Amino acid sequence: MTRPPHGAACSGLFEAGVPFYRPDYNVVEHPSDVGFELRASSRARLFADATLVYYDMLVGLDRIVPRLDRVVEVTGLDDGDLMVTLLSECIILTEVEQILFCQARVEEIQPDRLVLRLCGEPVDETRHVFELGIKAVTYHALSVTANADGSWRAHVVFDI
Amino acid sequence: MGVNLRKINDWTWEIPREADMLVSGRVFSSAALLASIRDDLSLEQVRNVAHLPGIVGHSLAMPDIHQGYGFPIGGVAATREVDGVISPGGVGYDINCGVRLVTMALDERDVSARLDALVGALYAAVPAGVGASSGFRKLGESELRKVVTEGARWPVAHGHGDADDLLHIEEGGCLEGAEPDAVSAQAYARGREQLGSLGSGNHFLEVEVVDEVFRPDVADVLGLRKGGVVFAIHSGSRGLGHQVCTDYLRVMDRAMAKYGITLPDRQLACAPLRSEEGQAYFRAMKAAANFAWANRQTMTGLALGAFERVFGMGRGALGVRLLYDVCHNIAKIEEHVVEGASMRVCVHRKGATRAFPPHHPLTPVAYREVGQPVFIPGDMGRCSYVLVGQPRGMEECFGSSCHGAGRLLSRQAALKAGAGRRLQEELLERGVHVRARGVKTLAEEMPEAYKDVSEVVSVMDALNLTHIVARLRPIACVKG
Repeated sequence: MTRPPHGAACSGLFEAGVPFYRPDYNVVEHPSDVGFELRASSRARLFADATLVYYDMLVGLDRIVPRLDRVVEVTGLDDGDLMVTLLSECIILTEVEQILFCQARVEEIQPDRLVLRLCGEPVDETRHVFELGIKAVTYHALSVTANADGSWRAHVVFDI
Repeated sequence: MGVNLRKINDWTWEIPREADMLVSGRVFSSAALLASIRDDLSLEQVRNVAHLPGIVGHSLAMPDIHQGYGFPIGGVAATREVDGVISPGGVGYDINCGVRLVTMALDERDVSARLDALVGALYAAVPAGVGASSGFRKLGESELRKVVTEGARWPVAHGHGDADDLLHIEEGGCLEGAEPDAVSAQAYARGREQLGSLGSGNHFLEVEVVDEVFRPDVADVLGLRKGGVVFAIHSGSRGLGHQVCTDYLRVMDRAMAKYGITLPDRQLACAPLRSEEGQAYFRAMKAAANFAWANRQTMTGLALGAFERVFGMGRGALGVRLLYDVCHNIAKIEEHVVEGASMRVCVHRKGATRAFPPHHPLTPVAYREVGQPVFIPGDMGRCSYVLVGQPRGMEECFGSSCHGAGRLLSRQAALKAGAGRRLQEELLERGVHVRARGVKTLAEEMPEAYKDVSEVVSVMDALNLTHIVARLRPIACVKG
């Protein structure tokens, strides 16, 4: 499908014409559910990309157009708890407000707090086919870790 | 790291107590099923559950056990009420996911020519799939608070079913002590458009035929006759229940340090049952359980409307009767004998069903002589079973049963196995009319993705934990 330039009507997460961004992840099998293994260049990028992985697994990032933005603020005991809480917020936004996002940028990050700006659009059933019913984010086999080279890695399992 | 198993008999295996385990593990399984059980982490999870403070008896695994998160699916654990813990992970996200079975006066020959119309009518009548909206109407929070307090009574009062139905639901379709204030605004928001909807994944509506009766005297009491048509619903508390679990896992995660609890898996997070956190979760869990019963009751009304339209008969002429409704993701305070003494315990059943024996005071009056009915869905291509609880189950596993076949293939593996196949046509060739909302659902839920449910229930029967009453054959199925 043809995508409008990023940031077209959103509040400018990316400049117009920036190539489509896809997080570096792979789907992880679980006997009854599904998860992902994500790699990112920084801690902030890891959290932002984790939200994009959720939407990519849900309907496909390339099917979402950035039209509106939303700021999400979460707190957590540690990075794992921040990850679960952040993705749980995304599930609520999908299920209750029926909004999908395709761009994410961390605005503020602390050890126990995260502010993220997301850009996307309301669910359009003519274009958004839900590939998965992601209902919750688990603490099972959860990990958010820094690598020796400064990059970061996360492992998350969803309840579907 | 592997798990040591010691054979007790042909169908019972022990995970010996070691290190910080508070009790041993006990697995009910045939040797054949055990081979697939060893393929995932479910035995490690049985061992992890044995670390829960206050656990008594054994950390138990039913023959349909497979890997969950924290608890295995098919796990049972009882903790002392007085000083034990309650764990949201021991109940699961889909609080009071369960199964109900409706009997009818119809025979297979009455419906066989109209199955395509019936499955279409059911598909249209009951919203299904990811994020499916309510089959009732959008409810305000004040109405939702009544739903979570009243359970199945609420839809009965609003025209879905009658008072007799309530006599044939576990706990009468309502757990007393539910606290609407313990449920978050987000949970209510997720539930407000979902009452009367099936959801996705392995949830289903299914029309089945009683294919074989193994204990005719018991089947008579349950109202099951060979060739008769029955209707099953498998669903739970939808987004509301998932949010309750999500909210309280977070609460418990923080409470663990406060109470000095350390466990091998964060998903097992728990708090003492009698603590502020434990009581808040228990009350919220009851509220979500009540929402699930209201959901299944509402869907029953919607589905029976489809039967009425297709067959041009009213509910009376159709001979509709709710046989029973069981939950298989729940925690309850029950009285059990532990090491020779009667004790009140919190029984966590995660993918396990209560199965009380004949003459137990909580076995419904109508079934007091034969035992509580238990429904074990298999898969949409083979069969399901009706069982009844037995005294031995009270002694061995806190009056519990398996809850299904158990997955054999991961969803990803099932998708690969189903690639390029015309599963809907394959199932039709086997006599099953299927409709599914989700694009991948049929592959994820194809028969080969599940263990052989006949093998699973045969373990329960061989051990006299439950008895097999009848086998049911699917003829029409709606998936989310």
